[in-house]
This record gives sequence, structure tokens and C-alpha cells, in this order.
Amino acid sequence: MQYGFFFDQSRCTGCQVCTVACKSSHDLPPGPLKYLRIYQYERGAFPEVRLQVQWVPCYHCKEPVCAENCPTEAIYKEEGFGAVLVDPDMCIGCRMCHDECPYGAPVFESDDPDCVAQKCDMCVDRLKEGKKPICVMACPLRALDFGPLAELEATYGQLKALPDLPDSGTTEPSVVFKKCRDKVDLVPFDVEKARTLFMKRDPLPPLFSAVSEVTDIPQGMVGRDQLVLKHASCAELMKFTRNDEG
Amino acid sequence: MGASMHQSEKSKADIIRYTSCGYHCFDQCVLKVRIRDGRVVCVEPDDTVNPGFAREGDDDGTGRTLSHRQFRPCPRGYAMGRALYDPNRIIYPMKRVGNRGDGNYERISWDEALDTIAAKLVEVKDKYGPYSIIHQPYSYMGHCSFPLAPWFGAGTAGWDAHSNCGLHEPQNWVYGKDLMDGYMECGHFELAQDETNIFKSNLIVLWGFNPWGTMASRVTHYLIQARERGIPIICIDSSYTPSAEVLADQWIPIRPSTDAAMMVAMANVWFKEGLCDEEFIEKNVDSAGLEKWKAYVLGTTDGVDKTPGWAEGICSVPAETITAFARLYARSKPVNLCVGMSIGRQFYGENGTRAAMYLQALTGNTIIPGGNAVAESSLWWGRVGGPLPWPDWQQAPGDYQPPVLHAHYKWLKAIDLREKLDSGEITKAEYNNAIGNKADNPAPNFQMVILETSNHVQGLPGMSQSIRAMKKVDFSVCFTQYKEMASARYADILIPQIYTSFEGRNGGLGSEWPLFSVTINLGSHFVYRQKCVDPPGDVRPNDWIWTQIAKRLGIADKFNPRLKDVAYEDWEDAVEAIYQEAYETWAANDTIAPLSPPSWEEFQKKPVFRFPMAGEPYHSYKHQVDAGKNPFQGTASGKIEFFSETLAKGPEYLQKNDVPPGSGKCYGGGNLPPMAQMLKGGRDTFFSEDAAKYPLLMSSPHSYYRMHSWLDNIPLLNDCYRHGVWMSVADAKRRGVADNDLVKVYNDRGEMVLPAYVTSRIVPGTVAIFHGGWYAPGKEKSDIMPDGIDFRGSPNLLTHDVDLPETLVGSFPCKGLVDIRKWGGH
Repeated sequence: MQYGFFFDQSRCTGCQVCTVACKSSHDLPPGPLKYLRIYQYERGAFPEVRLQVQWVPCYHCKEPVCAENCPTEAIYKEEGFGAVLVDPDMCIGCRMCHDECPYGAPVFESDDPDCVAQKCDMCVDRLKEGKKPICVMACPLRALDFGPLAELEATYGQLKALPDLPDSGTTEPSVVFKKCRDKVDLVPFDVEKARTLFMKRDPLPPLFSAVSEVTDIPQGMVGRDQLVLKHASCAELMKFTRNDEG
Repeated sequence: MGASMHQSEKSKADIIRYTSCGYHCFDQCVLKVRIRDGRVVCVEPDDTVNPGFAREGDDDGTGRTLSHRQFRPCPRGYAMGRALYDPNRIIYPMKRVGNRGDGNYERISWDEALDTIAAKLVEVKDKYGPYSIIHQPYSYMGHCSFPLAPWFGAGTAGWDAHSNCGLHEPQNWVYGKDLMDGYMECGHFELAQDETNIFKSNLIVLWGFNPWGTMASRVTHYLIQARERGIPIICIDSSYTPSAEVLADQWIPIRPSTDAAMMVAMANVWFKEGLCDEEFIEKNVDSAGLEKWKAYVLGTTDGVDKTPGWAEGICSVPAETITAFARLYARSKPVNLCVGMSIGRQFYGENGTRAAMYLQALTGNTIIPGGNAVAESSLWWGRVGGPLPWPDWQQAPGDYQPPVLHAHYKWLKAIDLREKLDSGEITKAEYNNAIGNKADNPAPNFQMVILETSNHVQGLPGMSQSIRAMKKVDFSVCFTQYKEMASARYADILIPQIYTSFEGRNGGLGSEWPLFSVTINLGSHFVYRQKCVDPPGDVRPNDWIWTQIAKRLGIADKFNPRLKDVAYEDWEDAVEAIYQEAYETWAANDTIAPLSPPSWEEFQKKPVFRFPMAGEPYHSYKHQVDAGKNPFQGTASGKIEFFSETLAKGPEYLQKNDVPPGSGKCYGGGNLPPMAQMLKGGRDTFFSEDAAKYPLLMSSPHSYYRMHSWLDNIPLLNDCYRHGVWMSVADAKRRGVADNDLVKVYNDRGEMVLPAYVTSRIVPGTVAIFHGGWYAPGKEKSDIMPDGIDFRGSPNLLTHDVDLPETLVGSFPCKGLVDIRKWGGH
């Protein structure tokens, strides 16, 4: 039977408890070997801004393109739960799996060309003990769930895509989503007027001289303003998976 | 596959134990600890209740919504498993070699460390008198934390606490009692509420409050549930926090230090449109004070009508929004106004926190189900499930009562200023005034500093002053894990300290909390923090250390009569026996026995006791209201007071008297008005004159990945975040700064270099550096940074603690005016 995840984006604060619990329980070293990645990025210009969070483990696709394209058949579909697993002894470090996966789920400890692929293992050891994956049970906001995919779909619906998340193509990821909320103001708020008000500081000099200084955001100026799931290097993975809440 | 099979086989031999963080956090989450070969392998989530249930609270039909929940740890709980074995820890006693601040230490024996400390205690007391020894933390709330004070006959206490005086003192003025007073009287926080009280609210307002960041995750969990039940939530904050994103329907951005303007303008709308709850006011609000404040709000005294139009020029929230929000608030009873402590932690911060209390009173939301009285971050700690086990150490009564001689957090200032008193540059009255001591009280002369479980040198405002102070004292001891922590860097003796609750316990004799601990979560349970593995090196519990010092001073029979002769090898068992006795005594109690608590042996396997939960959620003053008592009997009028007659007596009175009499609280010669007002200017506020030179107002919020400065250096947590300075797009653009550029943040007090986080999530003209980054001096030095410019980012280098004359002694400023430029160095 195919098992899968449920991710409730409307509850996720991007706190990274899941990633730390994952590393802790899998005894992974600090750094880019993140079986589970949290991406936080912003959209909009002050004060019309939203903070987006994407939760990216491996979605353990029914038709995993990583496995299909693995030249040594190091990646395989586990039978009990439908987990997509990698045998590090058979991996030659070609990174085809990473390139093929829409989400960049296979990860590497370093940029060394000999470095083998590792990935989320659905916590199959825990599953065999009748437990749910560590990330699911660690989430303090109860934003995650896990179970037979058909049951999750019956409970939480069929949503398989989220804004900014790459198209899964033909892979059929074993996950259902709940999207973050669209917000409607409870009280009127004139954005343009607010920007003008935030410009002034009488009797001191103004903080800026035109609203465009807030709204025209040159590319590369803001920390993280898009979802980027595949990275050219470990350093880049760290840059995109660290937030600024500390 | 191989690796995973391997792990599976090994895990069969694993030992599982449970404990709790137990370290300076409102939550005491349950840590399930996996142990292999005597070492902690990892921490796992709580499964002591609702095992396997991932989405607790979803299902109303099962009754789970209002019942016990798992206490799932935050990232710090998991990372502690690694911190325990950090190779950079100090695991032996050490003494300083070289100058204070150089950071060079060498290993010494326990005997040498303990002999030196005992001898110094005697020497300093003889030479400088009983008010020469300061122990931190928590010589606060009128209490002295120096464990040996009552028998050694030395030590002092401070009044209030650095965390919350900006909220506590206004509570005294407005309600006649603060949060802690209520706690002392009846064992729980009268002003607080249960998490589930918010389900009865019609509007929740998070004002300067990011519960996700400051109250770990549990409060956020309940707020999400409130939001999913359709209760509207508005967040008013100077940055767009994860709480604002996930919890709030709407973010209203506001400039820091201008909250009072918006609050006053809201009241202006209510007064003019007749939206106040007149029935509640008639019964519960002192009318003379209300009339005075109303005259201020409507401008009949000063000719300035404090309308939303007036306020928008200060706080930058459009007038139409203020008006509409005021109307929504007035018609949404019950309103749960959750005010962050940050509002009180700035100059004139007492205005914002007082005004918030007025808002709840004017709309009749103070003492009703679903409302709240504006406690400490609207502290969720209302219910107490039942009595707790309490160890009986059989300490002898002492004959020395440490006097209150300073505002809690002014002890470093007291050291730094002392030479000016000694040289005659300032009078004793001036000295005492600056540290929150009554003019004619004896002046403390702190010459021996003992820092235990704290990093105050870095954690308190005005770090440069703190460093100066630590270089001036006769002798200092720091209990720590790292010689790189700022407090340790200037100490003479370093004591290796228990780092995580896995490796041992400080049983509660000294400054640490007892091992039976309650969380804020409905106050509905307690956890026993049991030892899981041995500590690395030769780390020993604080209780053992203080007992050995007490023996050297000849007072061990009074300080710790039951354990004074216990050998170190038997220490843990002896402590455990006292806790077993406490548990069994508690379990036999008439109230507890009917609940059938497990035997001690069973309890140790899953040491979490959950009290049955019954009845309505607790809300502010519920016990008083239910009993038909007046909650406000502590004020002169017996009602909520908008105007403080005490403050109206003015600086001269406040300098010479403690308020209330006998409390030791001496507010000093400040000019804080007797009722809440929006005051522009003042130090380190958005409209300070200093902003002409340093235009950016820095705040220093709490990090989700540290507990104050604790765990700043743990790689597993560093994976999660970058410690930088938040800058708005407009401010960054003007300075030619893009994200991740290294920038210098500076003012007249400090300089630091760190990466910029450029974002639209913070209001222009303000920046933020999260509290707790360790001061990391580099080679580059300057006049104001003689030990080296900071290359990590410790925001208290940029704050200061000179209160007077603008405000009262005791306000705790976490803000500083700064400027930023791109850094050209390498």
C-alpha cells in the first residue's frame, strides 16, 4: 500500500522543528545533509507582504523519476509503505536523481563529486514499529499527518499542488496539501497612504523621499523572495533553507 | 538499506527515559530520550499522551480539543541532545590566567575552586560588608538568590525583574497588584488565563506580540485553533512575524514606541461615539482618574484633541484604520488583548502597557470569560491543577534577611558607578537614585559577583557598561558551559555547569527550579526532570557545589542538613531519595490520593502527571469574580485606576519612598506621568532627538533558536537560521546594501559587523537584531569597543540603561538608535 504525507501550509510557521528532529533522529551531521528542508520566502512590498513556507521532504512518488533515471538502480521503491529509498553502497554520486526530481529531494553532504546521494526514508524504521514519521509527530503546530495515501485523500482532500511548487509531471507524489490562506482585511487599510505616513518623521527629516523606494525592489536585494528547490551547491542550499528568525 | 537495518538492530537495546528541558522557559516540554551505551542518541517527541495522534485538537467529537495535549518540544529540545556532547564545552573547573577579557583559562581541581570561592566570600564580606556580594540570577522580586545568604549573613535583593517591570509596575498602579503579587498570594497568576479561554473571545489582538517566537510553540498552537474556529485575529507589530502570517487575519504595521498614540486615539473614538462599557466602568473604574485621562484624550487640558488623525502622524497607522479598528474592538466583546512584554521594554514603555489596560477596562473586557487583564504577554498560566510535590530539604531558618537595595537589573550599573560615589563625584542619594535604591538606604558595594545559570553581562542593556563593571570588581565566579560566553570571559573562576537536563540536575536548593516543574499549558500537569546519563568530564550539580562551599564556611548543617555528609558518588541517589519522598508524600495527600497517582517506580518510567481537567477555562481574576470578591481592592479607590496618585507625587517623593511601602521598590526621580500618555522624544524612541544622528531604531526580539544566549553556538540550530540585522528595503537601498552584505551597525555605545537581511517585513526606519548572539570580539578595536568590535551581533552593545530623567528607574530598554553602513573589511 502507498503511504504518504499531509502538509497543512496554513498552519506552518516554518519553525524547522521537523528538520531538527529529523536530523537528530537520523543522526545526521549539521549542514546541507537535510533530508527535510523548510523554505521560507516573502512575497510583495511593504506593507502588502506575505510570508510563504514550503515543507519539502521526499514525497515518495508512485512513479519516482529519481529511481527511473538512476544508472545503478541504487534507488528503489520499498514495498511495505511505498517509500523511495537509496542504497548508498550502490550510489556512484552522479546526481542524476537530484537533477530529475522536481523537488530536489536527494541531498548531499558536500559538493565533492564522490559524495553519494541520501534522502528522506519516510522513517521506515519507525513505521515498522507502528509509529508515524518523526517530523509528523514533532510538529508543534500539528500541521502534518501521515498514513495510507487513500485515507489521507479521504480525510484531507485531493490537493496535490501548492503555489510556487514545481509541477510534479508524471511522478505522482504521495502527498496531499492544504494551502495557506487568502487573507481578507477585517478593517480597511489604505496601503498607499500608509506608505506615505511611514515616510515622514516630523520634525526629524523624512526616512525616504518617494513611495517607490519601498515598492521598487531590485532583483537580488531582498533575502529570499522566491521558492528555489534545487541548488548548484551546498552553500546555496544552506542560504535558501535558513530563515532569519534568530 | 544497510545503514537503516543496522540502526534498527541497535535500537532494540536502547533505553528510553523521559525528562523535560527545565531551563528558563515558560514551557516544560516532555523530552523522550533515547539512550544507547550510556549516551543520549537523540530526543524524540512526547508520546506520554495521545500516542500516535498527529493532529491533536482537530476532532471536537472525541473531547480532545479541550483535554491534555502532548508537550512537543521546539528545536532547542532536540538540539540539546547534541549540545550535551559539544566538544567545546567546559567540563572542569578553571581559573583565569592573564587579563580579564582575554579569555585564557586553565584547569584547576574542584578543591582549589571551592577553597578559593569560600575564602573570597569571607574576605569580601569582611572587607566590604554584607552588601558586597551579588548573585545572579534571580535576586529579584524582593528575593535574594544567593543560596547561602540567610546563614552566611551577606547578600542583597533587587526589586521586580528585568523581564517585566514595564508591565508589572503599571499593573500595580492600575490594578493595585501585579502578576507576581497574585502568584505569591494564591499560588497562581491571577491576571493570567488558560489557553482555552481564547476560544470564548470574539476578537483576539496580538499587540507587539509574536507568541511563536517568545512562548515557544504551544500558545501558537492554541491560537491557530482559535483562528480555525473563525475567531478574528489582528496583529499590530512593527514587523511581519510568523505569528502575523499564520495567526492573524490582518497585520497592522506600526512604528515601535508609538503604541500609546494608537491606543489613546482608539479611546478618543470610543469617548466621542459612546462606545465604552458604561456599566463596567461605573462599577469598576475610579471615576476621578478616568475623568483626568479623558480630558487628556479629548484635549480639554492641553488643547490637543488626540484623534486618529493626530495619531497617524506618530504611529503611521492610517486614521481610517484606527477608527475602524476601534469600532470593531468595541463591538466584539469579549476581546482578548495580548500585549507583548516588548511594549514595556523601552523608554516610556509603561505608557503603552498602561494604555492597553485602559482599553480593556473601557470596553469591559478585563475580568470576563474570553477577555483578559493584559498580563505578562497575557501569560497563559491561569489554572493550577492541584498541589505539587515539594522536596523537604529541612533547611534551618536563617537570621539574615537580605535587603532590597536596587532595581533588579541595575546591579552592573551599581558596580560601574560605585567609583564615582567613592570619589565624591556623586552623592549617595544620586547613586542610589540611579540604581533604584531609596535615597537614605545604605549603598551596595558589590565586589564579588557570582553568576549562576545566567549570562547577564551580555543579557542586560548597556553591555559596554557591564564589561567595565566586571573588570572593576574584586572577584567574580561564573557557572557556565563556555569560556566564550561574555559573562565567563570576564570571570576569575569558571565552574562547569550542567548544560542539559539529561546529564544531571540541580535539585532546587540553589537558584535553579525544583525538579518537579509545571508548564504554562493549562497548568495542568507536572514533569519530573530525571537524570538520564552521566555528564561529560567532571561537571557536578550546583546543589553539591553550594553544599561543599557551605561546609567550608561552617554552615552546611543549616544550608543542607540532609545531604551535608553525602559523598559525591552517592549524591544523585540521595537527591533522588528526597524527590521520591516528596512524590510519595504528595501522592498520599487527601486531594491527590483519589486521583490514583502511579507508584514512584511506575512514575519514573513516564514522569509526567496530568491532573484531570474540569470546569470552565480560567480567565483573569476568575477566582475573585467567582467568589464575589473585588479584584481591585489593592488600589486606594478599590477600583481600576487610570491616574496614579503615587506617581503624581513626583520625582522627589519617588526617590525617597518605596512604593508600596515595605516593598523595597524605589522608582527614583523620573518624570513618568501619573497616567498613560503618548510622549514623543525620550531616549531610544522613534522620535528621539538622537534619531537625527542615528536614524534607525533597533529592537532586539527573542530568537526561536536560542533561550536568551543559551544554545547560540549549536550547529544543529545554526542550520535553521542566519543571525543578521533586519533592514527594510527603503533603508537598505539608501545605504547601498543588498541581502547578505556584511554591514556595520553602530552608535556611540557599540559597533558590530553582521550580514544584512533585507526584507519588506519590517517598517522603514527600524531594524532588528535578535537577542542572544554571543559577543565575538574581533581584532579590530575602537575607542568604544576596547576589547574588539563584535563580529556576531550582540544587540545589548547598542542599548543602554540610563533611565533618568525621562522615565522611571526600572524600565528595561531593549531598543537602541543606530545607523548602518556597508562594511568594507574582511
